Amino acid sequence: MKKILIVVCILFLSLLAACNEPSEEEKKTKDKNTTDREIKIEDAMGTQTLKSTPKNIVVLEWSYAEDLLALGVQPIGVADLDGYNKWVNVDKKLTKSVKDVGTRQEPNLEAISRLKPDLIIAVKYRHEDILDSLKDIAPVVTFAPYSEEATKNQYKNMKEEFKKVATIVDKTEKANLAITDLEEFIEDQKNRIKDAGLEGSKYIATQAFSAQNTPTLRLFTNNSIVSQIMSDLSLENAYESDKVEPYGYSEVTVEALQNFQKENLQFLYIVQNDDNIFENQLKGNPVWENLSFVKNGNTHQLPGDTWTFGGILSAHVLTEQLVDALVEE
Amino acid sequence: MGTSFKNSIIAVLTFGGGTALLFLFTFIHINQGNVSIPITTVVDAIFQPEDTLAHHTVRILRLPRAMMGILAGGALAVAGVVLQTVTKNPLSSASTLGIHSGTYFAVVASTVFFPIALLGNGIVVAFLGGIITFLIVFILSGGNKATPVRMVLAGMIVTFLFSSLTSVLQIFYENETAGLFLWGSGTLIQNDWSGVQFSYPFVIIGFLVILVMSFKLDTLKLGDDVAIALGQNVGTVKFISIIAAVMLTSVTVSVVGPIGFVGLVAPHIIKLIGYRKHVPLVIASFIWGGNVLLLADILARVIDPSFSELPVGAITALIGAPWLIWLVLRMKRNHYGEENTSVIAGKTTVAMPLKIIIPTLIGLIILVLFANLASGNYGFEPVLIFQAFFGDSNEFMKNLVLDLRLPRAMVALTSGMVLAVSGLIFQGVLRNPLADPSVIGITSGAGVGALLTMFVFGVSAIWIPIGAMIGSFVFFLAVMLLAIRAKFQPTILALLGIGISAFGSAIIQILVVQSDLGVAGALTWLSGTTYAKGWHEFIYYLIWPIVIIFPILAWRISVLDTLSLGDDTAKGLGLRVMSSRFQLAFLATVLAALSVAAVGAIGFIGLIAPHVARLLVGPSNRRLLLVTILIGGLLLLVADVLSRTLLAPNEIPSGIIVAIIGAPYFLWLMKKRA
Repeated sequence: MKKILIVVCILFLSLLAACNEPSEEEKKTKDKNTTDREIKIEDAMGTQTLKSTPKNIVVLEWSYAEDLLALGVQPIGVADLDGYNKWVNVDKKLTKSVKDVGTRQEPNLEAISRLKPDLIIAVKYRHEDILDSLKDIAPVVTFAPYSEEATKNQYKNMKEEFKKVATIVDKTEKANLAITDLEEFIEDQKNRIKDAGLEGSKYIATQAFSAQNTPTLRLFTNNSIVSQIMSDLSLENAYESDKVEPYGYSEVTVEALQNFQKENLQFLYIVQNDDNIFENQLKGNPVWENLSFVKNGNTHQLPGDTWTFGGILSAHVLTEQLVDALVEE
Repeated sequence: MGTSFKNSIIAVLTFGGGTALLFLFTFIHINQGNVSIPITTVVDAIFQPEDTLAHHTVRILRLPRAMMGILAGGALAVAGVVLQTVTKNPLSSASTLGIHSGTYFAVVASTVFFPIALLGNGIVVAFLGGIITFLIVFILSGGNKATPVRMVLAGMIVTFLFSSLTSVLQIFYENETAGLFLWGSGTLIQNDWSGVQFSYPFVIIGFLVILVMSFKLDTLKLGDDVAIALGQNVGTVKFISIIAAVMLTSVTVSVVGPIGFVGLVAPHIIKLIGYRKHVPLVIASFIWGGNVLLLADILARVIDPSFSELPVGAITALIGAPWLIWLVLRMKRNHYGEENTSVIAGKTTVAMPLKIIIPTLIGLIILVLFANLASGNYGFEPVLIFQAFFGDSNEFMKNLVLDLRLPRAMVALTSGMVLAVSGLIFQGVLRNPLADPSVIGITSGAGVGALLTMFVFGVSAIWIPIGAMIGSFVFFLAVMLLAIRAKFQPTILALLGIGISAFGSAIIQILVVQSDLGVAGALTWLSGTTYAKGWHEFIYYLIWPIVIIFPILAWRISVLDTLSLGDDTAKGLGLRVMSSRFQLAFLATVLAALSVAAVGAIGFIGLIAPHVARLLVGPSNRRLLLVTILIGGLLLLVADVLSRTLLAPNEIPSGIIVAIIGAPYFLWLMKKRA
């Protein structure tokens, strides 16, 4: 019954979307109008006014690069391009012509300047003290993804920022479509969870690595994108931090896992292949082997390139990876 | 009868009480953790182990950590005893002599270049790194004849050097060294017994070797001549015991990372109690070293009971640094007195005439400035410059040169000048060739000020420079107040600076761990860089020293020449030594604080520029001033262009470039003086 309802809903929504799609002619006239359209954007530093729709955008934080891709816009420059290609694993790719503009923490002003951008997208926590220099090059929109407000719900914030990016490049409709698409996809994936009989289960999700040979785990808290998607998938996070974690996780050692023995929970983990602490350091160690979810075989590995801090496209991939990990075992 | 009774009470308290305390601390320690386990369960886990999670936690996670604490603390303390005796230096320890940083560098370097050599936790590599560093510091500071302060300063410079090299490796080989990053601060976390099992044989062997050598070490304390007269082979004794001490240090570094100050504090506690002979000294130091480290680890988890770990090394430094300061103030009369540490006067090379030097330097600066403006992401493009300045280039390239490259180059040039002069004054005031704003604690004070501004007051990054300036002044005043009673004697000032610096670094580490977020900006800034600097920094911070302070110095600088003759002579010549020292040091602090506010903590310039100047024009400070200014500016200007272009579009902090240029020169300088 529910399935049919969902299918109907999807049909209805796509119909709506199709109706909204402007005809070719309308598009052309719109383009003409937008060449000198003025855009006002609320960002972390106040209201920014852009004189026209920017075409050449330099992005200094990865998630906005994929937001642009989702809207069908190629940025002209991205900070730490190698890192982006390593970590951000989404279907839509940056073209070869996209230039590297240095590190995300210290982007190269000259490289940015040489690209003659008409917009720079920056983040407050990294670029606050170079904003003046950036503004000398081009208008800057500054997001604050880890501000007190944003960090309360990073998933919601990610979607809001995505909409703002869309407003800037004048693709609001496309953004709404992409968000609906993601929500539908999550709704769809929920069925797989249900079919596997995992609906409503408790879980812990973690990213684990070794620091000085010591297994260190980042447990995702409820404000994280991972946790919000999991909750949309009808799963419940067993881990609760006593303070708001700005990045959406707390760092713990293996001892802390003992606090989650009563519930029959699912343990999801992301590790790099060359640093798999559960294989290398903890295998055979009774403090790990005796944990209830290890004994019950409820541990699920996600691929090493799972990107949990991304934008709209990463959220799509993340959803799929989470469900794959939970179901296919 | 009375004294022997008193002695046995002391012995019981030192050894029996120390051991009892070890049990008590261990017990408190294993009751701390992420999970609350009832005390009865903890006791059961030890005496009646069962196959339950709680019991395994106590036996496999917590007990090894406590044991590792005792082993590492004990080993470091015993190593400290040996180093203090052999170098005849009460301030020696693995951290003050730079052994920790050398060991750490060796491990990081071999991770990058010869990972195969890291078999067995990298003990061999760590050991070799430790031995070589000790030899460098020992020989370069003058070996047996080195004064304690010179040795500690040399240790500090070597630490500085190796940490710069380590950062270089971490920047160039980010992926290879990623796992080692946290190790730098030292932590006792263990997953199982493997760390303890690996290290205890080494610790026992090292401990026994030193215990066997104890009687010979006693003789050594009477002086090398007496020891030789008593028929002892001094060289062999020193060699064996140093090898054992470095082995103890490197085994702890390879398992728990560098943990400072335990090796300094623990032996002194025992010496204060009154033990002078090495057999009781070594044994008691081991026990109390374990106690100090366990207590530090307990405190670390009391301060930060959340899941995240506070590095125990930060806590030992927080306890140890005030201890060092106290030790210095206490010992000032008997040891250092008015000993003349002047090393600046004399050793004049053939002084070149200023008429040649100054135009040459100015010419060089213009040349480098030109190269700086002409180079960027696309290499060297000299034509651009002419186009930018003389008309017909496109607006865009003009802006690139005039708005991005020129202001940044000006900031590099002027902050280099300011730093160099600050170094020149400190070297003169402290009569110490190794002095530099960081020696006085100013740099670390700036770091504390900057982080406190962001973390405690939660204001935006724009206020960092102001916080940094306030921080450096507070630390400067603290050093000066402490030094009043010692009449601002150079050696005392320098040692107090080191103590305050260590204290500041500990606070920085704790703040960084505690704040989780929002310090990223402060941290890149702390490392010292000319990145993204422009007219703003130039106008707010750098123009003033040049307009106001440089002229004052031109008038007052010759006081430094008088001071370099030694306190007595200077007084004889009618100079008010104390107030002159204070005034000049104050001016130097203003300079250092302004440069820190503009470009962060760039080291080595203040150290090197005055030396190069001295080689060129001799020791007269009046002649030195302008030459030092020009050389300092030139150095940072060169570093700036390299930092922009070497890895473009990625940046290398120019502070690190300066260290790469400065380090070889510095080693050569030390060798020449030894």
